[in-house]
Amino acid sequence: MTSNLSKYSECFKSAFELPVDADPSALKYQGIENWDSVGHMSLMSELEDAFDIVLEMDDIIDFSSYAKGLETLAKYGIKFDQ
Amino acid sequence: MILSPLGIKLNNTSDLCCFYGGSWFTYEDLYSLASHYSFLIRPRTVSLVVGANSLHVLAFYLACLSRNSPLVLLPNTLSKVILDRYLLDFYPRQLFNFDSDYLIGSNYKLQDDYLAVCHDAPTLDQQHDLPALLLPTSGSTGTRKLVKVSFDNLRSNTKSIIEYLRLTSLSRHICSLPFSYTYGLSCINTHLSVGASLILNDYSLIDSCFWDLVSNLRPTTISGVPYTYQTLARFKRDRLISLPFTQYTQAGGKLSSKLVKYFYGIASDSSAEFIVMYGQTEATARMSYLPFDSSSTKVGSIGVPIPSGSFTIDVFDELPHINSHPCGELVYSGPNVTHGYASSLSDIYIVSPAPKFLRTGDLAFQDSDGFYFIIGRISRFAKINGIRISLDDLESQSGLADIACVSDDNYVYVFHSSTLQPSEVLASLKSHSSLPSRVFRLVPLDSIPRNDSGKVDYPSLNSRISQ
Repeated sequence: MTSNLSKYSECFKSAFELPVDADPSALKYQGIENWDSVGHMSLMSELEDAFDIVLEMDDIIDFSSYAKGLETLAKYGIKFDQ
Repeated sequence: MILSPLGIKLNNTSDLCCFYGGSWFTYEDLYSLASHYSFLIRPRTVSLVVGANSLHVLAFYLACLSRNSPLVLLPNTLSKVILDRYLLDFYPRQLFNFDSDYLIGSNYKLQDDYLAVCHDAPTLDQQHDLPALLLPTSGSTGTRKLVKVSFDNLRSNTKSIIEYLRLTSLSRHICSLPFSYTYGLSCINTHLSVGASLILNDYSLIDSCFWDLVSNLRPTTISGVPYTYQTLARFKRDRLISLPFTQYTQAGGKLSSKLVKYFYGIASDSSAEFIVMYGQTEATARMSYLPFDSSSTKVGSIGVPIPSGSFTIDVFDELPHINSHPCGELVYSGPNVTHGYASSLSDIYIVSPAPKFLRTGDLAFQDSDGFYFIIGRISRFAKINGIRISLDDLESQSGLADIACVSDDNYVYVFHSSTLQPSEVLASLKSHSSLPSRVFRLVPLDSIPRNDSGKVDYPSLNSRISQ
């Protein structure tokens, strides 16, 4: 079974078209070319589809990095067991 | 008078004009900066600016208008290769807001932080009228075909928009669209012309800095493309109703009926207006609008022509009638119809007589109350997030023999022969346009369907993507 953490990472890779072996864990909003405002919304859609949630605008605005997003998703009841 | 080409009234030059970089600037401040630039611009030479919602770009824009220097206004997303081609075709004397790295080794010398000048650039023929602006139609591909916008076009469209939106000096606008986009520019022109204030901003709606500006400066007007409203709709309803806006406008493509109704409701509950509008660069910016009091009964309509404009429908007999209304190509007429295209210095001049009509390329009908509805497109342009993309250009410039592009409101679908590798197709599309790869959806086919005369069968491709 795929862990939530790897599912979460896959969303970044898919939204930002990263290579399969990329490590997205240090990514920040506007830190790479593809994570611009439109890429941001692609990421939000990927996450919503993968975790079957609907993100609120304030959480979308606060979603400033990979790390910050883990906290955001935790609010929606997604558990990231290491 | 520097600001006069736009018809800006300077009753009180100490009025707040624009907020930029953390401070307010008055009309007098903008006037002074525009004057400074105007002395550095040689009349009847071309200027070129990379757009940004900044005080400096705005001042330079006004300076170009006042010095009769046709201004090529480009988005800030173009690659160096594409910018180079514009420079070659239009030989601008003034470049504004370019990266200093770009200018290294060129004939352009920086005069200050933003303005670079090439002293060898040609001065244009005195015998002919010049356009005020030269605007790209297909923002992201390298088609160097620019719409020639005259001073009269700009003045008349600005005046019409102010009239139907009833903008006043009390309006305060937050920029949410690029300066280089005709819709974004029209918001700036209209607000300046009534002595209103502007919050010059390049942050996106998903950036907290944007919302800090909204809560601190309380803008009253905001404009958006469908994508803007899709994003706004993610706010909770209560939050949307509490926003300071009194007028929301929408253009740049068709917003879903569901969202039109939703924002009509939001606006009604917050004593605001939500106004759907329709336009094209070839009409300077705007052709029609849906008055707010008709929004709930005419959902999906582009409304009625702007003051001083009119529509006719060039009926196509082969199209079925909709509720007994004949359908055909929407044709616009008005003083804001622009003067054709320029692809180099040789065809930059405004040739009289002014064109009377603009064939919009949209299929439409008019209902019995006089409201217009668009039902599809004739011409091969995609419109994604407000960016118009010529599908024909995309196909021809990709350098790939066997591809065919169609689009919906979200993606460009690229049908390609399965003998081509998807990665190869994508790389080629990206290198010949400035579009991000997420815009493209690749569909491999054994062969591209063609009709008897060998032309690509686009209707059959369109039916595939709508399945």
